[in-house]
This record gives sequence, C-alpha cells and structure tokens, in this order.
Amino acid sequence: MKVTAEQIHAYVDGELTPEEAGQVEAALAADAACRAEAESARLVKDCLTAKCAAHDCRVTWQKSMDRLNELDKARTTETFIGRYSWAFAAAVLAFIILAAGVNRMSGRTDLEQASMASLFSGLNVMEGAERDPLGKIRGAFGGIDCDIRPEALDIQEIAYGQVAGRRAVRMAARDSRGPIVLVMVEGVERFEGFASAGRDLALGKMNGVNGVAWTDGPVGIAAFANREPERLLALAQAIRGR
Amino acid sequence: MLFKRGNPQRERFERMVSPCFSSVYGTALRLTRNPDEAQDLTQEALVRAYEAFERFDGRNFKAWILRILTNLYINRYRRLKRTGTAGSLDEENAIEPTAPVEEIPDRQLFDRLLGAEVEEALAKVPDVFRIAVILSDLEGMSYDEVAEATEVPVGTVRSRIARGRAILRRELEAYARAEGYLKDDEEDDE
Repeated sequence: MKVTAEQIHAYVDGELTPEEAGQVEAALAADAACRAEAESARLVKDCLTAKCAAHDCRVTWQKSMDRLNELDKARTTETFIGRYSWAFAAAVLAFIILAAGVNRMSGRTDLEQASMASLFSGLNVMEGAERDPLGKIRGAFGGIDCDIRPEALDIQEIAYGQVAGRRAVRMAARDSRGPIVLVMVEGVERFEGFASAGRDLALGKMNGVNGVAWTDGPVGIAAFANREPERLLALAQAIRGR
Repeated sequence: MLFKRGNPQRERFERMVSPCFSSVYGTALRLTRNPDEAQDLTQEALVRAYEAFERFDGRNFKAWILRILTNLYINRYRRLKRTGTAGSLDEENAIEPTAPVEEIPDRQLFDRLLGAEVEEALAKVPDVFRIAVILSDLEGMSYDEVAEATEVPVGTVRSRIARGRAILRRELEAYARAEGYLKDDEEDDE
C-alpha cells in the first residue's frame, strides 16, 4: 500500500495509530524512496534539536513580570474603586448631611454682615409687642428666654422672622441718649466684624453705626446706636439681665 | 511586589508560566526573527494570557499560551512583514519540496552547520510551516497540541510539518552548499 510523505513524518514523530504505523513500516521495508523520506525527516528534526539552543530570556522575563505588576496595580485600583465607589459616595453624602444637621442643631456660628443687614429690613412687625416684650421675644424664639431688661428701654416696635435660616428678633427702642436698635439671632456666637472688648462684650460697626454684641445662652444679641463705644458698653450692661 | 503578595491567581499564573517561558520567548524569537519584536510579542502574550487566565481550562498550559502567542503573531505581526516571506501563510502557493532519494544529503553534512545557520534557514521557511515545525520539533509538542495551539485540524498539522521539514531541508542544503560543506560536483558524482 502506498503511503504519503505526511504519514512517514508522522511515523517518525510517533503520531500514528498502530494500524497506520504498520502500513508505513511495510512501505519503508519495501521502498527506498520511503526510507529516504523518513531519513530526511529525522535528519531535519535532529538538526533542529541539536543546533537550536535555548535563548537567554531573563531580561524578557523580568520585563514581562513588570508588565504584569502594572496590570495588577491597575486591577487593584479599579477593583477598589469599583467595589467601594458607592460606599465612598454614601459616606461623603452622610458626612455632609450629618455636618449640616449638627451645625443646624447645635452650631454656634458667625453672622455675616450681609445677613446682618437683612435684620434691619426683612422682619415682620409684631402688633402690641411693647406691652409684653419678653413674652413676644420668647414666642419668636420658640420658648427660649432672652435675659434682657426691657424696662431699661422705651420699646417702640418688635419684629421677628428668619435671617440666614435662623430665628431672629429686631427691637426698635430709645433711651435718654437716643434711638437704639437691638437685634437677637438664635445660634449666633459672633457677629462678623465685631472684636472682643472684655467682659463677654464685643464692639463693631454695621453700616457705619456702632454696635455692641454679646451672647445670652443660645442667642446672639447686638445693640446699635450712634454713640461712643464706651457708651455702648454701658448700654449693654444696662440691657443685660445679669 | 506590593500587589503580587497575597495574589493567589498571580502566583499560580507565575508557577505555570515559569517552566515554559523559554519556549514562549524562543518561539516568539523564531517567529519574529527580531529580539525587540520577540520581547514585545512575549510580553503581550503573557498579558493576554494573564487577563484570560480565569478561562484557562487547566489541561495544557504550554499549548494554551503558545496558541495565544501564535495567534497574536499571525494577527498582528504578519501584517507588518515586508520581507520575502510575507504572505507565506498561503499554503497553496508553497512549493512542494519532495526530493528524490539520491538528493537526501548525508547526516554528517548537516552536523557541520552552525546553530546560527540553522536558525537562518528556519527563518526562511514560510510562516505556517515554520510555526508547525517549531512547535513540534523544538518545543516537543504533539500533533494534537500543535493543532490546539494553531487552531487547525490534526491533518493540517501533519501536512504542515511534513512540508515545513522538506522546505527546511532544502534551505539547510543551500547553506551547506554555500559554506562548502556540500559541493555541487560532489553531489553530481553521487
């Protein structure tokens, strides 16, 4: 039976079934051309095996490992971001909400000049407030008492409302030296532009008018009048209950 | 190393690739015939293999990674070739080098050839035949493994190996003749 060159090469490589191998062996025994083909196959195969040495691949190995390290690094970062991105976003959001809540609930903060300006124009006037000023102020602040002495002043008008999201009261009054505007804002610790003047009092200005400020519990209070700072400090002492 | 530690998949991949890395690089070098290209091809094959490692079926890692390498070479590098062997993937156009009995050279003549000369002769074998011969004769892969690596039937592998060796034999003879190991007149006398 005639065999092909492919079968002879496969025979040399030990890749034939026993049945095919038997056919090739028979052909090799009978045909010089088949033997020559088999010898040629062995010759080339042996030549390659003997002459082609392994190449030094240490540099390529190190560079390949470096590439895999970079890939691992990128994967780790991607995995971390992918796995925790929602957690990060949720944490940031929770922090913002919590901080806002804490600030809202217990935050004692500064009142900026721009917000202070709205104390003089944007509040609602209470009717008959001069008859029970402390009661009106307590009502405006939701039950919080402000320790001031209304009898020290001739109260003409009381207005209430909100400034910078905080409950606020404005009181127009007079004393023997002239008109006074008293403002009270919940949760304000310091009025912008006011500096400490000792004895828990601070002095400053609003639209060129001198003012004196202090805190009474959770409420920041400021009195404005066209008079010298020393007079304002004395006025504050007169108005303050303690 | 920071990310390597505690990465079982990476450690497992390295354990599997380490024993056959010289085969991967050697095959890349014999396919591209250029050290820089071989290095790029090897790195690219390793990255592809690493990325696809979860899909490795666990049977024959060497055949699997060499399949990635040869596919990369065929798809990417062959297009770049502008040498005389470009387009050598076309099997139909390959010459049939079956030689008469009297042309089979003496084994001692091939023994005189240097390794570099054999490598150069191998480089002249068209791609598809060269790949099959490299995987079979140099990497010791079975026909089934070569078939898996090159994604062709075993019958095609048989054909490619036989024809590849025949072409290589002709090239080796040419080198032997050029180097004076085999003289035309001697051959004629025989």
